[in-house]
Amino acid sequence: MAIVQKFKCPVCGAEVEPRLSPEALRAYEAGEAVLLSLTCPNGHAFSVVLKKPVAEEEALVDCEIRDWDRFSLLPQQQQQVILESIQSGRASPSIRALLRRLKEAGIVVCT
Amino acid sequence: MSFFGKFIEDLNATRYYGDFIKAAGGLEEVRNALRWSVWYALKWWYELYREGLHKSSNIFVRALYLSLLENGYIDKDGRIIKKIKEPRPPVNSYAAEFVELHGSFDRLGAVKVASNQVDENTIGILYSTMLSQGWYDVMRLTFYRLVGATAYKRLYAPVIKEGHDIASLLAVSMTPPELIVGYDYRPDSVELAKEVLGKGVSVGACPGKGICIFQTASTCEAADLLGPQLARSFDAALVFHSLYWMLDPMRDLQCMRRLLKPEGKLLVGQQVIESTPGLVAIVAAMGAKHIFRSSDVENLLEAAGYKREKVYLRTMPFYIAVWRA
Repeated sequence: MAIVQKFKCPVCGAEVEPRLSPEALRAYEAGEAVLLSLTCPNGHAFSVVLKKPVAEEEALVDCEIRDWDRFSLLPQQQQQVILESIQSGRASPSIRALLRRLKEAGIVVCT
Repeated sequence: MSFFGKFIEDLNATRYYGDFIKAAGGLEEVRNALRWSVWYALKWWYELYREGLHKSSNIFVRALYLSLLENGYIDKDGRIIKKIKEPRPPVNSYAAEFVELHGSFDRLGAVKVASNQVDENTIGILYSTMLSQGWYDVMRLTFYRLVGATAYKRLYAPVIKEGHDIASLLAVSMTPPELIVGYDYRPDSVELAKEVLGKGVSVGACPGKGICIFQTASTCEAADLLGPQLARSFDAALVFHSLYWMLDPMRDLQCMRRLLKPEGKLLVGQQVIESTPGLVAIVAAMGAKHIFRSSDVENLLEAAGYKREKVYLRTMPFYIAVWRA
């Protein structure tokens, strides 16, 4: 039995730590929504849906490459990844550090 | 290394690092990429030698010198005694990424790097690039699988760099570790790790679960901040390309024993000068503090009181072993 998240009772606010069975844990880890029926320490019954949070993506608003000379120092694949992110307006966690450094160096500018 | 030693190391690389080799296009493609690393290292050395910078105490120059000397490409006076032909262009994407990293660094100019004429921002960008490249992640994941990194509930990670190592570990863990604690002495690394790892990271304090990061000079200060309740409570320490970033590796390793459970594991992956000369020099230019031979890594761990459990690879593509407290 595993605990992955705490919930607050909607009636009294008491914290409940649901214990997941191995099957429920597998479904949770696979990203499926798991419906749980819980009872808080004060006896209030309630239901919650448990779903593993997906990796957050950072929104990039109105970004552009300002310094192409320095941008071209990056390996081709990384240039492509950054350009795709700027075009789509989304940056995956793995390139957030690189993007931040590019912004700090004035190579990428976001308004 | 003797011919027999090289043969055994090749055999072990195929046996233990097969996933990485497959993903990077097979043994010949990997060898070709490694030859590029040597080719670039020799190019940079030639440029430094021509400018009379080959005796500089700059760590980039020292890393190049020691690695090329160890691998028999230069003599002790720095003269090139063995050359290699320019390798063929890589085909596999991951192999190409690895070679392109060398190409990007080459465009900065070895002489400029050795003379500290390249600004920190540019070096930092290349550092973030390397840590987020696909080949580096495949290397990480192969290492994790080999040493069983996902099996531990409570992990300690010295020198977290930008948090990519922890993010990759979480991505492949069926059940995330209940606690991961790490430190870095660079404020920019801690800031960027927060971005890479997202919300829910505790910085400067540790509630005893989740991910906790400290900005401290070493493990010793991190252990002090964690306090007696977390002493001797970690199942393993993930020392993945971290030893050469530590300010004082010996002191750090000794303090790590305060955090590890008795018989706790030290999962060690460390680039050494016997492996890829170009990459060793690039990482030195990025700010690594030390240059190790494979034997230096083992001596250091032994001197810090650890016991060797299993050595997977000594040099190629890097030193990989499990030690215990």
